[in-house]
Amino acid sequence: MELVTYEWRRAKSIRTTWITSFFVVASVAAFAWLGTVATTDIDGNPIQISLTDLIQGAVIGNPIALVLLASLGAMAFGHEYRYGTIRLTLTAFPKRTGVFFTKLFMTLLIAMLVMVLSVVAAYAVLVLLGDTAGGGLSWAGLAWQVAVYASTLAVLAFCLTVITRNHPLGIIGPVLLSILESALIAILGGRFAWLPDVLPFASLQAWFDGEEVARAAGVWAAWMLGFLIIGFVLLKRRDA
Amino acid sequence: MIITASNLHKTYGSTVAVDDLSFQVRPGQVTGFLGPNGSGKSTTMRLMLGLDHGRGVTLWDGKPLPLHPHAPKVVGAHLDAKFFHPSRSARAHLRMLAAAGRVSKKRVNEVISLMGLDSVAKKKPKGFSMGMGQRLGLASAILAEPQVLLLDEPANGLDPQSIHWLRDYLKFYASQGRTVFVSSHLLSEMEVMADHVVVIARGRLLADESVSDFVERSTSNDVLIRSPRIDDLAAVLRAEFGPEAVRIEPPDGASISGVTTDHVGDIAFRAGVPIAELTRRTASLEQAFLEMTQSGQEYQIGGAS
Repeated sequence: MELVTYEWRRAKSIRTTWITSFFVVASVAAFAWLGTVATTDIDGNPIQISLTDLIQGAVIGNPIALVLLASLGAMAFGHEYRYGTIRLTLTAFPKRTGVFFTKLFMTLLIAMLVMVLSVVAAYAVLVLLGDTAGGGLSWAGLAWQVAVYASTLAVLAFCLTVITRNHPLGIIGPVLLSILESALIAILGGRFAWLPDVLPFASLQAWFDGEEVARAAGVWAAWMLGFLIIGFVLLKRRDA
Repeated sequence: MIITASNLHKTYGSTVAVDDLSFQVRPGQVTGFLGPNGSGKSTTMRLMLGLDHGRGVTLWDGKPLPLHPHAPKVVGAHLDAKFFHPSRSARAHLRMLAAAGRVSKKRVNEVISLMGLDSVAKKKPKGFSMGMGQRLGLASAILAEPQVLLLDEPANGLDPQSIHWLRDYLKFYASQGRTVFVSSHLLSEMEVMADHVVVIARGRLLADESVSDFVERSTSNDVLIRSPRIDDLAAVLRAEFGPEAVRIEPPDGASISGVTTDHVGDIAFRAGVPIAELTRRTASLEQAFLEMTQSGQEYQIGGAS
């Protein structure tokens, strides 16, 4: 319990946590509003996008939220390594397993809280604009997609920061991975048709699209687990 | 609480930083940890705390630190004056650590006052001077009132008043039956602060004994005798102790090493030579330290050894 309180106080006592969280919420709300601007299709016919689809797009198709969510994920270890406070943490809590999983828990908790606030903010904006079209994604579908997406970015950034012990690399890492994956698929996808099936972001998208759900979710989970295992082992074995 | 460090060993590539180091740190006294730059003091402290991985084991009252249910009550460590987030206020930093040590808000305020941090408690430490950083680090270490204080160069950057305060505080802390293990380059301070010293060079143990025993071993300990007939007396003393043992100190003195004042006084009396002064001169901790570590120093001014 002390470790959870410690982590909570660590996170909330840094202004960056609040600023980053605020901008995630603000950017999702802004992107939801931008979605309402697209009122016609390419042929000029009016289109009606459902409320949940607008919110989903505002979260998942939002590059600003992508970077900021990664930033929230990278903070747990990033600040600790950057300013040497990891030595204070590991002296107070010498069992590193507990430190790793409590930080992971707190990172996911913060990411989820920020996502809840973002969805509520986007919903409020859309309701105020009178854009409340039904249909599209269900609310439950929206909730799990947003949760999985935010967790993916937070976990990747969290693990990349532990692995590299470099805060900026932890933030930019998930973005670079996503770009690298797109480039690999674009260059080699024609030659190796199976490539998108084994990469994390493509699998995540396939999962969201409901294509081969079990396989896609399994591949995504394997990647997440792989990063977590590497991060955990390195935290345990390396000097602080 | 007794700390027992056994066979601590750490290498960085082909460089041996800590070489099979074993020693004990006992409660009720201040133990100084001395060694030249690069001798492995900080690495040893990190190994003791389990922050660095290497061979060997450190037991805290017979148990490794992770096996104690509540580490902040066992040891409070201060390893660097810059270990804080630059935009987390000093109070928030201590409140965060208070969670680890199950420490009340009242105790946090108490420590802030004790360390003279009241005026900067709400400020971000990014603008702190080295001395302020040291105070915040010390506040972190003592916050949970641990059984052991482990401090790496805590006096660096402190003003003379703060150093004086630190000395008194650490002696008081130890006098309560707790264990204080402190490294420092300020040997004159260590001389008045420490009861016991652990001395290392190139990662190896050179001494683990009381400060008085350590100083006693120095060849700088000697007896000074002054006399209006110093040449006559020096001749008698050389005949007794050998020519190398006696050194003339103009205008009317001579120093003799490895002897007692009683012995020298007796010789002077038998020789019928009047004496103006007969004094035992004790080496300082600094002299003893320099003598002992001369050959073991990793980085020497004027080129590597």
